[in-house]
Amino acid sequence: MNVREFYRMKTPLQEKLGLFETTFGDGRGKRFALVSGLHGDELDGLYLSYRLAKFLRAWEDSGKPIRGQVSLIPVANPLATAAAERFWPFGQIDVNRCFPGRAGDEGAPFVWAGALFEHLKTFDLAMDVHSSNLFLRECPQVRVVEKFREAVEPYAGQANVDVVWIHDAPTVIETTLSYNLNAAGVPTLVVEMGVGYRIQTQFVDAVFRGVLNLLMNLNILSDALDEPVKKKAIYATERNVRYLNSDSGGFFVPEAQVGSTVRSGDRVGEILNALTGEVKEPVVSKWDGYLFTVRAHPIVYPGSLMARIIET
Amino acid sequence: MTTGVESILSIELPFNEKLAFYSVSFGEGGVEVAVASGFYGDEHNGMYVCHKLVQFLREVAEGKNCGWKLKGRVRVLPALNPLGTLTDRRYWPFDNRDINVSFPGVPSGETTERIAASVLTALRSCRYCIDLHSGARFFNELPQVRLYEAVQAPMEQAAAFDLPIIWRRITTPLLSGSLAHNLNERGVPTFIVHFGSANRINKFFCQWVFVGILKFLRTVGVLEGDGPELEFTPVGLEHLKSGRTVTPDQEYRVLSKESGLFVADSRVGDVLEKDRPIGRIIDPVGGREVSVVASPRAGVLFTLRTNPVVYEGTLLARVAG
Ligand SMILES: [Zn+2]
Repeated sequence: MNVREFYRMKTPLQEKLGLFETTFGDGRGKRFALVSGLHGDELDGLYLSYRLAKFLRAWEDSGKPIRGQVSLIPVANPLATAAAERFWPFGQIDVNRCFPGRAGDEGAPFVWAGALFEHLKTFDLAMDVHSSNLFLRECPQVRVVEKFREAVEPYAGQANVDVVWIHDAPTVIETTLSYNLNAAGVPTLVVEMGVGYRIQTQFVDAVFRGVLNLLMNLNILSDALDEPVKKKAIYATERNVRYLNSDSGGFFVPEAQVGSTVRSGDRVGEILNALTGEVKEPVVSKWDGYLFTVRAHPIVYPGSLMARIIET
Repeated sequence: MTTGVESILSIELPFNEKLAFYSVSFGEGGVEVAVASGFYGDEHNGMYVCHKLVQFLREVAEGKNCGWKLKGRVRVLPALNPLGTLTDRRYWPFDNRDINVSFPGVPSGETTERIAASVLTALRSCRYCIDLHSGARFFNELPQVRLYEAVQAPMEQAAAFDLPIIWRRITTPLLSGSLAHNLNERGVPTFIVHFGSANRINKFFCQWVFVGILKFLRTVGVLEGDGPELEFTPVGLEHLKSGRTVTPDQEYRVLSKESGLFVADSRVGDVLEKDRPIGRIIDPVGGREVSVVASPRAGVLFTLRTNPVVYEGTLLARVAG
C-alpha cells in the first residue's frame, strides 16, 4: 500500500490542497481506479474506499498477490467535502461539469479537473462513485451513456448492482469525468447509490462485492469472493423508466423502500399538510415495476420528483 | 387603459403561500419587445433598470410625457427568481438549480423547469427580447450586449443600444438551456445585456443601459419621439466608442497564474497598452507581491474581477483586443 499526493494546488493563503491516492499492486497487469466525492455531499464512496483499502491491506499482509494496480481516490473534491457542500465551494461550481479541464479554461475547478482527468486516462477501468443528492434516494445502480454502451455494459453487469440504466446524454454530460474518460478509451462505470450526506452501509456492501468481482475479472485478484456474484441487474432505458411527480406542495413522508417491487395503485408515500392534519396528496404508483428512486427530502413543490419506477 | 400587471406564474410553496412572477405591460397590440431580469437573485442592476423603464413607460402610456409615443407593446419582467431575490441566493434557493439553464422547461416539472416553461410561453411570441444581467458574481462588467450565436437580428440592432461593447460569443452546451438560446431558436432575437456587478446597484451603468434600451426601442419603432431622457454622457469613459464588436478571437482572457489575493489597479473601461499592469497578486500571509498581472493585448478592459480571492486559473479580466 502506498498513499501519495499526485496533484497539489496552492490556495490563496499559500496553503495546499491535494489530490490523494492509495495504490496497491505489483504494477504488472490491469489498472483499476475508484474515484468518489466529486460532489462533496456524496459520502458512500468514502466508506466503500475504506472497505476496499482495509480488504486489500489484509490481502497484502497475508502475502497474496495483487497483480496490476488498484487506485483509490476517495476524496476528489476535498474543499467541498470539508465544507459539507456539493460543489466547489468558491463560486459554487460543479466540478463534474469541468472536464476535461483544459489549460486556459477559467477557474480553479477546471485546473483541478484537468489534473484528475490526466491522471486517470491511463487506467484500464475506472469507477466513479456517486450518492445521488440531498433530495433522492437511489438503489445501487450503474448509469451508462448509450454512446459508450458497448465498452461499458460488460463491466456494469459484473458490479453487483440492482439496476443498469442506459440513457441518452444531454449535452451537459459531455463535461463530466465519466464521459471524458469513456471518450478517451477508459471504460468508466458511474455508480449511483443512497442519498447525499449519509452513508448507506448495505448499499456499500453490495458495491464492495461488485468491485471485488470486477478485480477478479480483470485478473488483479484471484479468489477474493467466497461465492460468485450472481445478481442480474434490471435494465432501465428511456422506454421503461417512469417518473412520478407531485401535484402539490407540502411535505412528504415515504412509505415504500427503494429497491422494492411495486404494483400499480401501491402507495409510495403521502404529501401532508402540517397546519390542518390532512393528507394533501397520496403518492401512488401508476405502474407495476421496480422502485429504484424514492424522494428522501420531505419538502416538495408542485412537480417535485417523488419516485422513479422501471415498468415491468 | 394600456397598462397591465399580471402574474405569468404562481408557484405553490410547501406551506400555504403562493409566489407570483409578475409582468407589467404598456401599449397596445401584441408584445413587440420584452425586457426580462432577475434570473439570479444576487443581481440587482436589472431590477433597477426595469424600475426606471416602468416609470418612464407608465408616464408615456398615460400621456404625461408628451415627448414620446408608444407605438407597440412593451412587456417588463423585473424579477424572475423572486425567492432567490428575497433570500439573497443566486439560484433557485430550494435545490440550487439555475433557472437560466432550465429552458425550454417543462410545464409540469420541477419548479425551475416550470418557471422556464412559463417564461418561455410569455416571451416566445414577442418580436425582440432583452435579458438584463449584472456581472456574474465575482465580476464587474462594462455595459455590453452579448450575442451567443448567429442570431437573425442584424448587428445594427445590437448597435442601436449604443453601448461600448458588442460581444459575439460561441454557444456552449450549458448555454443551450438559456432563455436567450431558446428564444433565438424560436425566431425571437434576444440581446443579453451585462453591466456592473452582483449585489450592487451601479447607477451610472444602469442609466447608460436605460438610455440604451430607449434608443433600441426607438430604432425598432416601438417608441417614437425625443426627449431629455436620451441625454447621457458616460463621464470618465467618453473616450470609448460605442458598439465595438468583440469576436471570439478578439476576446483576451486574463487567467491567474498564481494563488493569492488579486488587487486591481485598473477599472473597466480603461484602454490598455499591451503589458500594462491590470493589477497584482499578493500573498497576504507572507507579505509579498507574488506577481504583476499584465494586459495580454492592447485593448479595452471590459470585465474585471471584483472578488480578490483567486486560485491558479481564476479569471481576472477580459480585454477586447
Ligand atoms: Zn454526484
